[in-house]
Amino acid sequence: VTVGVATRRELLATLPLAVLFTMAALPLVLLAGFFVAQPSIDVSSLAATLKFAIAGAALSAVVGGGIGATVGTRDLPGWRWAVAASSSLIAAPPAFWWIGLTRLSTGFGRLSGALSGSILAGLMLAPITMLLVLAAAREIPSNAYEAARVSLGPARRFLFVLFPLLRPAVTAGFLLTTILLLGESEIPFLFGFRTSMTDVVTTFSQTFDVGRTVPIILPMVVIVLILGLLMVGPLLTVMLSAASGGRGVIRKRGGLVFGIALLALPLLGILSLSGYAWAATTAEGVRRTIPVGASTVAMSIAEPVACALASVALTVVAAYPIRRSGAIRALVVPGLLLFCVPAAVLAIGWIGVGQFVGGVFVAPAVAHLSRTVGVAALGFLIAYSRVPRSLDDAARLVNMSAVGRAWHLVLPLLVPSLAASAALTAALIFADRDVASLLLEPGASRLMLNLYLLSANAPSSVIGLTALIVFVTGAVVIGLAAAGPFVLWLRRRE
Amino acid sequence: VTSPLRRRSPVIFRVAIAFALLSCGRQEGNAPSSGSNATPSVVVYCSADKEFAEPIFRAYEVKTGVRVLPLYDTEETKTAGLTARLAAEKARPRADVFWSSDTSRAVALVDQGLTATYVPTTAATIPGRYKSTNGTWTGFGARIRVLLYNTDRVSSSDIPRSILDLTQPRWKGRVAVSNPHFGTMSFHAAALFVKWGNDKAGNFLRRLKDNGAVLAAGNSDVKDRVADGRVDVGIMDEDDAVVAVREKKPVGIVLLDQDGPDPLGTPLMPNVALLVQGAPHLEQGQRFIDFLVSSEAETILAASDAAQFPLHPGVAGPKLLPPLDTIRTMDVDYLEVARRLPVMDAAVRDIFGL
Repeated sequence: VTVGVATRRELLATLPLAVLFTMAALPLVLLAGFFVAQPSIDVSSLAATLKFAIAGAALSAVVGGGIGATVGTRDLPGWRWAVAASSSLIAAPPAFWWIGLTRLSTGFGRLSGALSGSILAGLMLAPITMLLVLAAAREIPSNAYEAARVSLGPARRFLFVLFPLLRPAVTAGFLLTTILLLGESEIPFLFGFRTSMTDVVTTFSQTFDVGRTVPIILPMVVIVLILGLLMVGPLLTVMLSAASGGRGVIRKRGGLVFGIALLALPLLGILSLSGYAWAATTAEGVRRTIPVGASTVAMSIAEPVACALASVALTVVAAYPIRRSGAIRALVVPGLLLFCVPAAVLAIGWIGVGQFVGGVFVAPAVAHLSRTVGVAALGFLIAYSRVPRSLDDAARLVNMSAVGRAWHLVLPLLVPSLAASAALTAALIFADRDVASLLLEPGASRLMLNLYLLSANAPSSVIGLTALIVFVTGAVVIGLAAAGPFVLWLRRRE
Repeated sequence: VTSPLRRRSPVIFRVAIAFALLSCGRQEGNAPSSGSNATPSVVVYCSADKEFAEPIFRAYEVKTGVRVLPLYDTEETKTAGLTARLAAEKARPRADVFWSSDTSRAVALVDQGLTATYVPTTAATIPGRYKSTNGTWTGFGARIRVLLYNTDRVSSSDIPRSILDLTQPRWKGRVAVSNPHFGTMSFHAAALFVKWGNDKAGNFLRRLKDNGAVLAAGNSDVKDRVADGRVDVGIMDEDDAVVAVREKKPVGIVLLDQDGPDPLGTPLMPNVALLVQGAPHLEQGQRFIDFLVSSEAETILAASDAAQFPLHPGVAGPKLLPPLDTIRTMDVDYLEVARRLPVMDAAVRDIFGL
C-alpha cells in the first residue's frame, strides 16, 4: 500500500511538468491533426535541405570540436576571452554575422549557393560543438589522460584516447547543429537556394493557410525529432556531471598554431562587426540618423528577459517536485525535442491553434515560451545534478516549510546553471526573426526584425548603426536575463 | 540584513507577471482602440519598405496626432504575405488600410471582396488610369522597373536594351531577377503575360531559366548581387537601384524597352492605398488614405531614398531619374494584370519548380 501511495504521489508530482510540455506541444498536435485529416507530404526540397544542414554541421563539428579539444587540453594565454568571444557568435543568427561581413569590401558578397551557405552557417554555429567539447574535456579523468600522455604520441593519443572520450560531445554538437540548420531560412534566402524551411515560409506567406504548409513541415519535423532523440543521449552524457574523482585534463602550454586556431572564430565576429561599424561611419552619400525608437529597444529587451525568466520560473516550479526522481530525466526529453522544432514551425502552429479556437491572437511570448521551456528544464536538471544529494537531505532537517526550504536553501544552489539557461533562452528569443514576423501585432517592432526589414533597402549607414545597436542591446538582454536568477542567491540562507 | 535589491525583487517579479498576462491571447479583430479615452490610432498593413514608409507615418502622426500602427512584411514574402494575411482575416479584420507597394496584388483584393469603397478627397488630380472609379483602390507614388548593371563587368556598348536580350546566350548565368511569386517582380511577370499572352510570356520565363538566370530572394538581393559583381545585370525597382547609386557602388541604371517602333516600355507600378472591408477604425482609415495619396505624401516619397514618381501633376519627381513623362511605360490595365497573377504563378511553379 505504501509503495502504491508513493508511486501515485510521484506520478502526481510529474503532472506539472507534463502539463507544461503538453501545452507547449499544442501547435505540433494541431499540425499532426491537419496531417491526419489530409495525409500528404512534400519532400521536393528535403534532399537539398539535408545536404545543406549535414555539410554545415559536419564543418561545424570539425572546427568547433578541434577548437574545443585544443582549449580543453592546451594552456593558451587569453583562452577564456577567446572562448567567450567565440561563444558570442551563437548569440545571434548566422545571417546577422553574414550581413555584417558583406558590408566589408573584401568580396564576401560574391559568395552564393548552398555550399557557401553551409560553410558560413557551419562556421558561425561551430561554438556549439566547441562549448560541448570543452565541457566534456573538463570531465575526462585526469589520471587516465596523463597516462596516455606519457605512453602515446600526439596522433595516437588523439585517435585512441581523446576522441573517444569527446565523441558524445562531438556527436551532440553535430546533431544539434544539423537540427538548427534544418530550421534555418535566412541563410538560404541570402545565399539564393531553396530548402524545406524557405518552402514553408513562402508557402505560408502566399496562403496564410496552416494546412497547406503541413505537407512540407511534417517530413522536416519528423527528421528533426529523430535527430533530437539521437542527440538526447550524448547531450545528457556531456551535460550531467560525472560522479567523483579527479576530473579535467591538465593543460600543457600550447604553441602559436594553437593560439591562431583559437582566434579564428572571434575574428569572424570581429570582421562582421567591423563591417557594420564601417558602414555606420563611413558609407558615402547617405544620411545618418538613429534608426530605432526607444520603445522598440525597450520591448526588445523586456520581451526576451521576461520570457526567459518566466521560462525558468515555470520550469523550476514544475520540475522542483520531481527533482529527486528519475522521471525528470525522462520528462526533459520531450522538452528538448520541443526546442528542436524550428521557431517558424511553432509560430505557424500557434497561428493554427488561434484560428482553430475561433480567431484568437496568440502573442509572440507564447510561441517563445513553448520552445524554450525545454531548455530551461534541461538547465534545471543540469543544475540539480551538480548539487550533492546530501545538501538537499540536510536542508530537509531545517525547520521551515517546503516552499521556504526550496526558496532559501535549495534553489540558491542552482543559481549558476539557472542563470546560464536564462541567458541562453533570452539570447534565442532576442535573436528571433521568424516568430516576430509571423506573430507581432501591428505597431509592434523588435530590433532583430527591424534589422532584416531595413536590410532590404536602407542605406548601409542605417543598417550598420542598427546592427551595432542590436549587438549592444543583445549583450544587455543576456546580462539582465542571467542576473535574474541571482535574486535567488540574495534570498539564500546559509 | 536585507539588501536594497532584495527589497526590490518582488517588484521585478510583479513586472514579469504583468508582462506575462499582457502577453496572453486576445480576440483577433480587436485592434488597438481608437476610442475616446485612448490615443486614436490607425492600423496599416504596409508592404512598402519600412525605411521608406516610416517618414510618411511620422509625418501623419505629427500632423494629426493619430498613432499609426504598421505591420510590415519581409523582403522574401513581399506583398503576397500581407495580402494572404488580409484574406485570412476577412471575417475579423485587424487592418484599416493596406498600403501595397505591388499594384497587382493589391488590386487583386478587389475581386476577393476585401476592399471597401472610399474615394479619397485628395486624389482628384491623380490620373484615372491609376485609380478605380468607385474608390476600391487608389494609386500614388509610382515606381518603374529598371535594369541595374555592374559597370566594372559590363561595358556601355554591351548594356541590354530590351528584356528579351536577357535570354541571349551572351547573358548566360549573368542575370538575376527576384522570385516572381512575390513583390513587384510578380507584377512585372504578370504584366508580360498580359502584354504577350500566356504562351509567349511562359516561353520567355523558360528561356530565362535555361539561360541560367539567378532567382534572388528579393529586389534588394538582386541589387546587392549586381553591386557585388556576383551577377552582371539584374532587374529591380528603381528605388533599389537608386540606393546602390547613392552608395556609390559600381553600377548604372538602364530603362529597358524604350526604343524602336513599338517599344514594350517598362512597367510603372503605383503604390496602392485601399480601405479594408470591415476596417475596425473606419474613419481613421479614411483620413489616413486621404493623407497617403496626397501630394504632400508624394513629395516626401519623391524626395526620399524611395525616389518614387508622383502621380499628382506639378509635384517634383526624384532627382536621379528622368521625368516620368519622358519614360515609355508599359501600357497595361492593372486589374487585368491582377487577374493574370494565378496564371503567372502556375507558370512559374511549372518552369522554376518554385
